[in-house]
Amino acid sequence: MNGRVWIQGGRVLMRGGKIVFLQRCPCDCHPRVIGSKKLNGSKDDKEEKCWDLKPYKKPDTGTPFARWRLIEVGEDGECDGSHYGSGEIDECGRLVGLEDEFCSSFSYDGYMELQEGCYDYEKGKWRWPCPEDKNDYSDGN
Amino acid sequence: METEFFNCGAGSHMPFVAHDRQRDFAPRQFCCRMIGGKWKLCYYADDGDGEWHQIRTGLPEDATECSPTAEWEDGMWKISFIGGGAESDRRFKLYRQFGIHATAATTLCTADVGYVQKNRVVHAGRRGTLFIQDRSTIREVRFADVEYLYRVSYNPNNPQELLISGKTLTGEIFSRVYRPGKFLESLTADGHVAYKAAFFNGRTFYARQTGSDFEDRTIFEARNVARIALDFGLVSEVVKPNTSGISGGEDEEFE
Repeated sequence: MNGRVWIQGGRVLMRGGKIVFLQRCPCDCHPRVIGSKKLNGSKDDKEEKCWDLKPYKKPDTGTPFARWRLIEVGEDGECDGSHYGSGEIDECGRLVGLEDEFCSSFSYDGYMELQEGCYDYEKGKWRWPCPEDKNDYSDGN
Repeated sequence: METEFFNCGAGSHMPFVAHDRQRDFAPRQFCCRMIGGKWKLCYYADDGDGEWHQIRTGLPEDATECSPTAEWEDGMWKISFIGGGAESDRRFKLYRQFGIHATAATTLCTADVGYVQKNRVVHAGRRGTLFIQDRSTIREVRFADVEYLYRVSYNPNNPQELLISGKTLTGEIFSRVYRPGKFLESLTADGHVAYKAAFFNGRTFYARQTGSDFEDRTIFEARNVARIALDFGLVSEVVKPNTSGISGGEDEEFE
């Protein structure tokens, strides 16, 4: 894996000359939706307007060394999505840089997804969950 | 007998009035009505049973349909609209449908706002660049003070005038008239933002908020309309050759 060594079936990763112990193998990464919520920025009720992301800040939320992004899936047909946040997933499966909360200013329903993306070493691209009738590869970071 | 406009009452939105060429350019009214908890395209059969009828588009029941425009051409109604938000596919797209009684629309492109008028295709994401595509050129337009675009339509009496509703970066809902390369104006009606407005033969219709929810809307006809010039410096326009392949047709009948 790109200069890294993964002991098949084990939980040890060589990274930067260091041995890292992991709960999950990065090679098991599959693009997926970690969580979703419909938001509407015109609502007065904070529950309808904002998404509490704190539950997703815990370890083991994501696959180590994958990436996360927060997007509105109704917004972009090419699956690049508008990114309301993105970052790395660390070796403990934590979503680095994820805010505690996201509040929408869009006056209509928006379908937010917190997604995990995986790097496809063969194609040299990040791969994200996308609608089935579209190419499921995107260059999103 | 004088035509009654938008007598559809509460739960009406997105007015559009087209010239019906088969009826001596009489008004043909379109709008969206709340049906089953979703906005759905409708037309007014004032020459039929005098009722509002849903236009069947073939989109899922849980899809939102909005921003209808229509023109009578080639012996049929050519309708365009924005649809999306269904659980099976959340993406919003610009659709075109040939015929009021046709039951299936075709996708032109992904878009949150836009329309088709003759050979012109106008589309944008909610926060993106507005693309005005004619047969040979694409005009890429950005508005410096706009956060979201909520509807882009046009004046059927002067299709060069675009009617744009949205939200500014400071959180204000706006309605504007934009003529590419010429001017940008704010549009108010009876002291309200003329939200998602429609023009027809000098008359103005808009969707006023009539309840506590942002989408509690009812279409009104404006008694007093104000169009106030805005700084055209807010607009950035780039014109390029159209190589996109997206086209509304072959005709060229502007103004």
